[in-house]
Amino acid sequence: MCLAIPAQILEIDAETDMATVSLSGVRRPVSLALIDDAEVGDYVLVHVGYALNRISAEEAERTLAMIREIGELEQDEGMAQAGLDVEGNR
Amino acid sequence: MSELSGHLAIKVEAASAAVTIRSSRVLAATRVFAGKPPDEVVRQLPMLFSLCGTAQAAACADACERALGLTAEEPVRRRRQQLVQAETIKEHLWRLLLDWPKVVAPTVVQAARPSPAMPAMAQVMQRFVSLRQTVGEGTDADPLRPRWSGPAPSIPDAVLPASGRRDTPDQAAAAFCDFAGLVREYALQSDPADWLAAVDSTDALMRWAEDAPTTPAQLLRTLMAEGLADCGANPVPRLAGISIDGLEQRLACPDAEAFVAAPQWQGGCRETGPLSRAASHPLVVALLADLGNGLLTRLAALLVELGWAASSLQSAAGDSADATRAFKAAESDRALAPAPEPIMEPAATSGASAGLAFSAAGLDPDAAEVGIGLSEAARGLLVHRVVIADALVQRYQVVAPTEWNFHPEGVVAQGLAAIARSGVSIAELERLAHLYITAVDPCVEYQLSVS
Repeated sequence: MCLAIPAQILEIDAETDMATVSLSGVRRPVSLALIDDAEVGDYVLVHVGYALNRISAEEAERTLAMIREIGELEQDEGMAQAGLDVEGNR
Repeated sequence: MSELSGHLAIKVEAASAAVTIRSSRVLAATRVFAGKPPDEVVRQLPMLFSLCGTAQAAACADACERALGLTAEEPVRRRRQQLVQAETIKEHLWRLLLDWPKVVAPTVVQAARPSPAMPAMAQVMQRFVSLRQTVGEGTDADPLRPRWSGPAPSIPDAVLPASGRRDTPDQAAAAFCDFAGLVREYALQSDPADWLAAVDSTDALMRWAEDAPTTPAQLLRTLMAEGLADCGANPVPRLAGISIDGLEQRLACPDAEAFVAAPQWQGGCRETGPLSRAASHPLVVALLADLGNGLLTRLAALLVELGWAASSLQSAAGDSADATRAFKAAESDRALAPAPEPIMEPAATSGASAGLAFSAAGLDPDAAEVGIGLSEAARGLLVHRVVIADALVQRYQVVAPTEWNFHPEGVVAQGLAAIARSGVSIAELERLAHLYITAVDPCVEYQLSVS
């Protein structure tokens, strides 16, 4: 299963229906074609270049807190650098 | 933090037909739930894994309820199944309207920006959001939210939408029926039940594709014109006959993480997902016999699943009078009933309590309870296992479809090797590899390298 990391909309280009979002501090382009009425400052869930749906700031913060917790768990077990290598765990 | 979302690195070597698949997905993310109360976990988990959040929520609710010796009433279980079917429709339409066309007919898609199918997919997404709100998303009455305490059960008759207005089963049934209409509009161009009955052979499928003015029909015509019907066919078996006891043994043992990362069944790789589920439909039976599990069979399986899901949701609307009576009966018994006995339903959309191997898990059988929940998500079987002790989750495990299908020796690895052995050019190998990967459908981004 994939983790859906909330991203905050930084800029919107209405002509192309594209936005620049901040995903964990990294700027990325995403399409807004699948959602309505997105505004700068909104949090969205992103999948393969598309904003899937808006979520509230509170929901985004709760999810981000969980993801930070997962990152800390990963670091504790020394797996954060390369992620989990499927073959290496067989 | 963004690296935690994970991706697949897929390499294909043309000369040797060697395929390697490596995953950077954080499969142990569910450890974040350890030490939390079950009701917190059932709220948080669908937010974390929201791409197939409905199926995740259904499996989570089932697992937790089973661990606690509870089972939801039949109307709630039915409503959960309907929500998962609606999510499957959304995901399959995404593949067929946006993803497949990018690879099958990239020149057409690139010439028209944005994609001509984008307004259709936007409508699908918006109507799915609306459907979830109608069925109580985010409220205490959401059927996907288990209720093991408190005054009101999560039965659909008690649904309160976000507006606070009391909903009715008829409204919910109408919303499901309305959503199912998208399948007719954007894929089948006929009543889903009629389509399933009429399109029962390869010839019937070809006749349908010639006449239907939909993107999936166009995709099918293109696959046939390009001779790609059996592209990627390989002998990896479909996942069948999986048992709760067998899952419990694998997930309770010390090397459970290896099973979660790269699951096999009965000593070999298995495929889960639309093709496995649709393999009993006469059309898919015929295509499997003639062409194996190549691209055309996979496309047909998606159409059959769309037809099944839409037909089921529309039937539910037709039965709304019966549903109303059932919900009223359920309302008179508001407490969740104790689970009668461990069961696994054939449709595998509901949970099952396990043959609890506490000792293997190192847990005190008097103190811990284990539940396994199953859900047939759009991409395949989703398995959740929870261990609860002292009212807290001790351990949470998820086996997701992508781990079966993108196993280093699994159906995608063997499908890509088959394409490489066909001797196509490097450029064509890359295009077909993208198409086969899209057809099996990972739930994460992937990087493909062909050399």
